[in-house]
Amino acid sequence: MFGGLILLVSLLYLGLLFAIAYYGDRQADRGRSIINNPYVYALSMGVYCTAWTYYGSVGRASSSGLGFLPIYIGPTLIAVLWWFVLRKMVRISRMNRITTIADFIASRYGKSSTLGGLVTVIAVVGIIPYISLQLNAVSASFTLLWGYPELRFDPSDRFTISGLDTALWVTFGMAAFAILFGTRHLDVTEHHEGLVAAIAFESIVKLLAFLAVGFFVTFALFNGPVDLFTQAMTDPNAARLATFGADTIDYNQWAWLTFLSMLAILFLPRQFQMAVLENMDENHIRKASWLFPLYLLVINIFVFPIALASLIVFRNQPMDADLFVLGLPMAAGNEWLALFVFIGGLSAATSMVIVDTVALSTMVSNDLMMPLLLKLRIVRPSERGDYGGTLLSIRRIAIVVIMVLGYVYFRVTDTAASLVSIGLISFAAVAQFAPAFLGGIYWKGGTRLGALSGLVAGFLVWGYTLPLAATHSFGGAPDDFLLYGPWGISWLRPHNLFNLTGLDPVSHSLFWSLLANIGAYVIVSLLTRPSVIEQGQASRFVNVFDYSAESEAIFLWRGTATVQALRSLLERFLGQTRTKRELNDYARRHGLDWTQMHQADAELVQFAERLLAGVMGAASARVAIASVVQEERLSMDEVLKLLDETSQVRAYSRQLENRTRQLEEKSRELEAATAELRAANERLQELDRLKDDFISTVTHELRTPLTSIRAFSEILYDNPTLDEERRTQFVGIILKESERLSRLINQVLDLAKLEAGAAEWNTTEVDMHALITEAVRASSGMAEEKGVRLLTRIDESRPLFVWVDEDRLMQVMLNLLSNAIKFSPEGRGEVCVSTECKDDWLIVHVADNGIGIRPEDQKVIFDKFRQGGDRRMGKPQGTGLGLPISAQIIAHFGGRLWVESEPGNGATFSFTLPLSSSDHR
Amino acid sequence: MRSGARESWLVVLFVVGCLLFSYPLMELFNDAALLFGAPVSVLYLFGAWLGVIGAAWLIHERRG
Repeated sequence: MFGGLILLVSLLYLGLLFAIAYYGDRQADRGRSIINNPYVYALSMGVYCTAWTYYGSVGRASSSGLGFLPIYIGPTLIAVLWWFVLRKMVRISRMNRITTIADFIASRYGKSSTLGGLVTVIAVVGIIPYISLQLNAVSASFTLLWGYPELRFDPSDRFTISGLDTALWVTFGMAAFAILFGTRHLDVTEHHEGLVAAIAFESIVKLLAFLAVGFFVTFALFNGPVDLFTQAMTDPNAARLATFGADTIDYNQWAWLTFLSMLAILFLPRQFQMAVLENMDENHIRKASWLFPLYLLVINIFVFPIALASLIVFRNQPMDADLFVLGLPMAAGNEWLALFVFIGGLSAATSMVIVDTVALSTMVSNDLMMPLLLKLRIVRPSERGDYGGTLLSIRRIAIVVIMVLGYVYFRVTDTAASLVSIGLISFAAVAQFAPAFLGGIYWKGGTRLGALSGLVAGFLVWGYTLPLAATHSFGGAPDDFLLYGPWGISWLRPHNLFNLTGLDPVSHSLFWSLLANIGAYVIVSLLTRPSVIEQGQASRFVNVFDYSAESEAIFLWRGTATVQALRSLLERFLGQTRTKRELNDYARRHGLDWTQMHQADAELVQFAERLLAGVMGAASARVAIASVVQEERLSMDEVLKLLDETSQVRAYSRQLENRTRQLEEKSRELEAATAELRAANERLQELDRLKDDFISTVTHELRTPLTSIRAFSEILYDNPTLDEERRTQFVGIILKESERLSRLINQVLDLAKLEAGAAEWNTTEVDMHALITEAVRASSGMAEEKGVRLLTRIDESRPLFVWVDEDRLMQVMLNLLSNAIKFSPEGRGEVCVSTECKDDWLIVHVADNGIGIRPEDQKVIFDKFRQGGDRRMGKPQGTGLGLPISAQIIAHFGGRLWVESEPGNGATFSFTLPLSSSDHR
Repeated sequence: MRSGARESWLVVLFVVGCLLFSYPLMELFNDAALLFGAPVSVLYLFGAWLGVIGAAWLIHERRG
């Protein structure tokens, strides 16, 4: 009764998957993709979690504790680098229309069909243990559930239950499912939208089922995680699982497993299929690179609690640890949960089997069988026939063969081996792709022969140390071959090559196989010369981000082909409708007319090859194209010339670009220089004008006293009879004007010297206090005359020593004081000299309460011969050179002279001087 | 984020992640004693794991 229910529910579940896939494909055909978003992308990567994760992790945890975790930590870490690595893989695959991982490697190393075939063999052989693992898990869980409510599992039951071999039935069931699912489309570069949708759905189902059993165990069988852990830790056998050590997992093995799973997440065929080939948008990688690790974390959160719980619940009952997940709800009598758990396990297993068989069968048909058939002339592209159908048939047969091989492996190897130990064998196999693959996308020096040697060496070592060894330990008991080596040669023991001890079998195998693999790859690559096509592909792969989509293909091809021959070749593999559509698109893009065109050019041939590559892989496509074109073998010289031309063209364009940039820079520099010149010229003109002004001003200023001297001299000369009083008065004027004249001349000369920097400076340390007192004393006569009070307010808190020319500074002080007195109102004027110190600076203010200076005059008074005030208000006193000279002197001492004033409220002239530091004293 | 800074942060995160999940640091937390009701080793592993995912989320999803 319950058995029938299990079958019914399983079939309903598979039917639901079909419905989803069908819906996904329908939506895609209507242009409404349901998978074109990062969430579905990340979920579809959940195909990583198979029956291994679902049943095996708990089994692993119950024997080696936290040793189940590196399988998920590794992908988490590598996901951090996906933005670099995975994005590059996606870009390369899209540009080269890659169909499988074998196609990828073959294409990189010169579209080598040998290499593609080899990778296919390794992938198929390597994945077979993995598939057997799924069969093992489904048949075992089915058998256990079949016996409900009895909780008894005997491994031999699954071959005899109800008179049928469960594993074999599961094999055929899954093969049929995979065929229906995976071989619906011919062109594998078109996205399998329905398939991806179904896989994403399966990821949700297995996650929910596992979380359901996790919650059930933690919160129904126990009172939450705290209770569960507390109970478990009292049992020494369970407590040891929470630590690292020799009896669980040591750090060495942990590191190797982490490293191994980093490679597996990149190179497992199903991961490559989902992450690279089914990627719709490179930007989805961003979200996936944290969302996918999060998925892994969530699905693993209950693994350890379930393992501990099982050890407590099944303490006195023999039970296969890999079946704990299903056993717990059964033991608790919860048959509906048990059924849900079984469905979850089924979804984990089916998703893996479907995607892996699709990937592997594509490899077998495209990279192994098709090149063989073409080479053996069984398939002749030049003859009529529907070869698309042939390809699909090959794929279907391949699926059945792969599934049967998985079944055979399951029967001949140790059926008692744990799920995880079986799966790790496959991980180590696909790790062999790493050197040729990663070397291929980051190192241009890798060659076809290098890749071949590396893969062969790694594969052989792997085969000897893992799967071959596995066949020698039936029932967990190692035979003589394992214990003493073939023919008793101890250093050939598969688990202890060269007598190496201390590593578990998987780490041991990984170490030796990768050593051989990388060593052979690098050394042979360095020793061999890549062919022309290899060089071209190497550059296209390594520098993929430098190439824009399809534009920069280098046409290393010369030959003759008719358009008609190409067209019929395409029709045979793509069908008439698709061929017509593609060729018409091509003609529209290139502005061609097929009726006018008979000979195909290199670009068209390449286009046809790429189209074919999407269906049959790069290596096969190359063979197929070669069969319809009269290819002229290019000599090495010609190819080098072609390459040279291409690189010259690129170099030339780069040069041009540089030249343009240089010219632009030059012209910018020129512009800047011109602007500077123009400014300098303007400045010169200004100076010239100033000089003219200066001369005319000086002349004018000189003439004024000269005129009066002359006038009064003439009067004296013409009138010798002038009375004594007038005479004295005139002579006094002449004397005063001469003094003014000589003062003016002195000042002009002085200023000229100062400006030319030719003045003599007699610099000493001067006590400002004394200097100011002296200056005030000297001006007191003039002040008294005008009735102006002179005040001093000097900061006496510290000595005021400055390093100046005393006479020059006195000149400044006198000038400022006389100006202040001059502009103070008569009788009630007040001039105040004050000092203040700011840091190392002395500031001297000379303030008056006179008429002040208008803002517009505050600047010009420092110009030569410019005086403040309105000229109409009377003759300005002084020469107009005092302030400019003072400013020059202060500037020479490192200070500054300025004025602050409000008209009507007096003016304050201030200057700064650096105080001399103490060590001068 | 400045262009190129995101890439640099990813490399840093990868290196830090590798350190978190390898010998010397893991040994520090290799203890079955219960903390908040769960073994210290389990808390550390899952905590560090979540930390790496959170950091990756920050690097990828932060605007700018």
